[in-house]
Amino acid sequence: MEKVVTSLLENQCRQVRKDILQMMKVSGPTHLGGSFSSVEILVALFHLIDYAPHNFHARDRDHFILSKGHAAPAFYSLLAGKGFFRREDLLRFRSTGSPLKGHPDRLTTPGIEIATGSLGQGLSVGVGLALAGKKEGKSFKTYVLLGDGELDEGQVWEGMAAAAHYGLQHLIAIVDVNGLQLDGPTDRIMNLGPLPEKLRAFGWQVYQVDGHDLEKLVTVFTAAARDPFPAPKAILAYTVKGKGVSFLEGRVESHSLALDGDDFSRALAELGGVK
Amino acid sequence: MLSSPRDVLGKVLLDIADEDPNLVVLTADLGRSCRIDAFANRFPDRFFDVGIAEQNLMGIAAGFALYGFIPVACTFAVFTGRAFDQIRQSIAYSNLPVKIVGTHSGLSNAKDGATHQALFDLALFLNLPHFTILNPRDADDARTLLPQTFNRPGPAYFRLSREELPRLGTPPPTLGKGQILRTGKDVTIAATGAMVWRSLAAADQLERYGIAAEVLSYSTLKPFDEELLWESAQKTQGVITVEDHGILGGFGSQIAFSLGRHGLPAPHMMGTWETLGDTGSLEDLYRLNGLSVEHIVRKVESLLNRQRQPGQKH
Ligand SMILES: Cc1ncc(C[n+]2csc(CCOP(=O)(O)OP(=O)(O)O)c2C)c(N)n1
Repeated sequence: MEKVVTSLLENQCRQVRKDILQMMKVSGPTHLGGSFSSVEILVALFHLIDYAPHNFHARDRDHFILSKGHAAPAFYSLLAGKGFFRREDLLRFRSTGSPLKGHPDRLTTPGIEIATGSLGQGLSVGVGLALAGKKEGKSFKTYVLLGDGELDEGQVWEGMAAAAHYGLQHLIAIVDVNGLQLDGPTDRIMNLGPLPEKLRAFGWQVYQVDGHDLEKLVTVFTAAARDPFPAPKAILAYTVKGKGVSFLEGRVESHSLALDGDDFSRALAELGGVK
Repeated sequence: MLSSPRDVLGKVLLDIADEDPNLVVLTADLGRSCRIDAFANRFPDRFFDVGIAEQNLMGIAAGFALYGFIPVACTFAVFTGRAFDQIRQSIAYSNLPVKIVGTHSGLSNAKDGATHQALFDLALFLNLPHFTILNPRDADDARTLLPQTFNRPGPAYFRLSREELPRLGTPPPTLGKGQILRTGKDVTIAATGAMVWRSLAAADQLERYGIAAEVLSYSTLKPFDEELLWESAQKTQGVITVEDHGILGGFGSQIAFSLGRHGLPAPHMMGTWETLGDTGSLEDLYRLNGLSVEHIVRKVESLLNRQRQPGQKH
């Protein structure tokens, strides 16, 4: 990837994180940790795919489902950047009557494919989309972003099995492996490891990547999309919960909280200040 | 002549599939029980058996709908409860045109027992926005009504009994409308699904005792035809509701709510109560749950007796 592109995307990541902080400021305790850990994943992915207002209603474009719906703030910032709604709308996040709900809502927020928030449901919807595409002989991609704690849900594994059974080559699941869920570390709450072996045993092609390295993310997304092997693709993106704000990184408390006063200013300053 | 509503499902789907290439059918390993195997044989590329995974079934159906298909997701009515959160979030919240079929409704899966009986499904579905809900009274009714929902946007729930129900030969229903199957001035019996023939049979008996019962049949539970109910309730001395479903949150509750907001007295509700069901012969189960023809007759009598002045005759 060209240096200019990389620095453009890096700037975008900083902007997304600052947007998330501003959304928190207007709306109170927010899912900061899991939003911050997904930022590079989302920015790299949306750099690659054609997901924009002009073709949103086309059937055969690439699709994206935020199965970990609580990372909505990060997604909303990206959607505003893509022109699905105005950037000012971000500051109405979660206010009464706002188009930006606490979790993604297809009927009120432009750019949302399907409602999520109750965890574990997005992959099945992705399987349905990819299966519909396969039935019609199309090759659009369906991306689903999940959390590693979310993998505790049995429905996710029903989806994993079905995707392999139907040979859904164009389905790409990205797991934000930040190692933390709501109550603590994923390996202590419910140890599902080792994930690569488990996913391979379920019949998936597995890729692994540093989930904060934009260049590597772009490379792995491109590779997975081009991979002709007739099986679904899983990308395990290893991340840090709360990434980008030093005093949130790797801390279970970062899952949902509000920063006020000095903490807010410090966080913003670490991201390069208001601008 | 007898026939089960679930037996017409496969035929209806074949009819629609011929006309609408967007129809796809999914099931969670109950294709044969839901009587859609003929569809699977004729349209193998439009049929998806996702295995015994109801949550996944609903999610995959939602995905098909997002792409532009009209998916029909079939399982037993009782197992829709297992995927209720998926129906709520992945289907209702995004108003997707998934048609959910729940067969073996109420107590109709008598020999399989409580684990396979659906006595709370309406309580769940009636509270979901956007849904059209059908509970046909016989096979012909199902055959007329099911196709009508395919022209409507949004999701639907078809509650289909496996009971071999008498074919009533009643006028065909219109979606969204209740019907007066029998007029009468003394009492209103409002019934749905498999309880309609029982209510008509009860009305026959009551006629012999000189009681004129009006029988309302509700094959569409949502949208709900309130005017029909209000008119009848204003004319008769009381309303009895009959359903093979728990009385809290089901058809009777819906009628109670409707009468209440129109300033009319509460109905007398017949349905299951504090039970998950049981194993037995179908008629025994309906009888043990107070839902036989005889029970409806006695309910009407006690209602009218209570309201009759001392010494007065029917
Ligand atoms: C079905 C369901 N159960 C519980 C929750 C509450 N919840 C929200 S986020 C979360 C933890 C998610 O952990 P993970 O998937 O690892 O997300 P991340 O760490 O990336 O934020 C929980 C339990 C939920 N949203 N949905």
